Amino acid sequence: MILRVTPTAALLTTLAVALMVTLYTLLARRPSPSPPLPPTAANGAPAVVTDFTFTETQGERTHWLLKAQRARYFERDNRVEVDTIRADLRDGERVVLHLEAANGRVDLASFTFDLTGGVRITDPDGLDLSTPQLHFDGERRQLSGDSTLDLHKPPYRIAGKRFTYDVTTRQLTVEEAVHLVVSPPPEHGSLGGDLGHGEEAVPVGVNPPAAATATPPSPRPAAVAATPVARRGRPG
Amino acid sequence: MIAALLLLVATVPPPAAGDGWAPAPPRLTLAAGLDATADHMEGALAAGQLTFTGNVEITSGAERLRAARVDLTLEGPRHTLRQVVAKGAVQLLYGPYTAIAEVADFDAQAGRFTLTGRAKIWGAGREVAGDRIDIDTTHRTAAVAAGHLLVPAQGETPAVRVVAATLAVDDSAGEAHLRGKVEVESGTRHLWAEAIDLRTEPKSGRVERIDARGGVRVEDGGRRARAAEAHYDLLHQQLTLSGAARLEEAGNEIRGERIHLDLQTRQVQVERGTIRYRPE
Repeated sequence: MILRVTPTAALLTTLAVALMVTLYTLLARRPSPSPPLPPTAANGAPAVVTDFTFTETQGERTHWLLKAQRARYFERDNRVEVDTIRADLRDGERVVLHLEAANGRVDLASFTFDLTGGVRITDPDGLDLSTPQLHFDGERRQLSGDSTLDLHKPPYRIAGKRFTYDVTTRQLTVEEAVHLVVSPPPEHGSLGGDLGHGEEAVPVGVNPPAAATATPPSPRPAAVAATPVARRGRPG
Repeated sequence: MIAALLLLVATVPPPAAGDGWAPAPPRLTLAAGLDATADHMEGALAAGQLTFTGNVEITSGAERLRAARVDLTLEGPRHTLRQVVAKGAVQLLYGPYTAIAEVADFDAQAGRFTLTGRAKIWGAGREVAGDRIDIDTTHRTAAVAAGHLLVPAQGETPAVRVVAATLAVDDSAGEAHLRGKVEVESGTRHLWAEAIDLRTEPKSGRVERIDARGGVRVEDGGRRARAAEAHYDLLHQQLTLSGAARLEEAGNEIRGERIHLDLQTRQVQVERGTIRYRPE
């Protein structure tokens, strides 16, 4: 029996084999039984992944979970460039911070990522921070930004030009042209405008809507059709 | 001669009715919200502890605080202001008053407002200054170390300046205790003593009693009085100088171990003393 293999089928088969090889390699190195990232194409072009999910764990605890509609994996640099990102910084099962951005770059070696384009950070306690760009240091579990920020956490509203936020201690540092407004208690009225307590609560700490993750990936040439999940683990 | 004795009466006037000897403390509440600017800020929002450094300016209603560093503590689910500690060239504007110091500590929970390091509060004709000013906002007491107190002129009574090593004022009890090289100056009149206690009627602020001890000396132009102690009962218009008491005016002199005056009847009683009278 002779099988005729079309070029597309051949490519998919190659990718599938490569996936299995990479998976085997990762399984041999890491205790975490997760599918691997697809390999970069032979010509150095990144592998494109849709509905990308990346999880960073330490022992049994999940440190962060990053989801993106589309990701480009650069194997040589061990990094992933992602679009339309939603990330959860976690303390085990508990979501500590939720992040959203238009674009981002994940450094798989250093457990860091950089987000750009309408970065928004929320937490379950009402924190809502907007900034054009954000860096997350996974080792130190610290967020930082070198551009303007607008933070709102009733009754506080804070603006500044640079900031760092320690996810573990929840310590916030804001530098340059710092402006903080504390709204008066409700019975005393408001300073006016958008600073009162009457504002609608900001939805925080939510995971990406199920509909977003369930959206079928659009078929793309050379894209992995299945939803890949990458997992990086560190010894606990 | 009686006029010389009246010096003690007029030298220390009462504070204006309804007002205290010391300026009122700031309110520093979040009733009107709070607006802060600085070069740097750090802290934990959830814990309500924030530290501002570099050109700090905090505005709360009509009150404005400037300093090199401010530590702000808010507490509770309603984020009430618990404590404000400002350091470095502190300037606080509130009501008619301006306060300056190296360090200002407003502890709302303890009801205490403390200024240290070349501290001074002034405004509306009042002034209090010293190395340290402690105001108990709950009990309306104030203590000033190595400082002075300035009470504005009231009616015909000129402004009064009080200097002492320590000044303790309890407006709710209507008491003021001045200790350590006390000097009271009002117009041309001066009173010196090691310690002076004043008692006022709390509601009206009218002085009821003055007790001065230790090298008491009064001067007003050519009129002088000296004694170890002086006790003046304003309610009953009784004045007593005791301990090597001496009154001088235009060459006339009364000396005695104890000199008692009834200011209503203008009677003078001298114990173990002498009177030297020089007719004009």
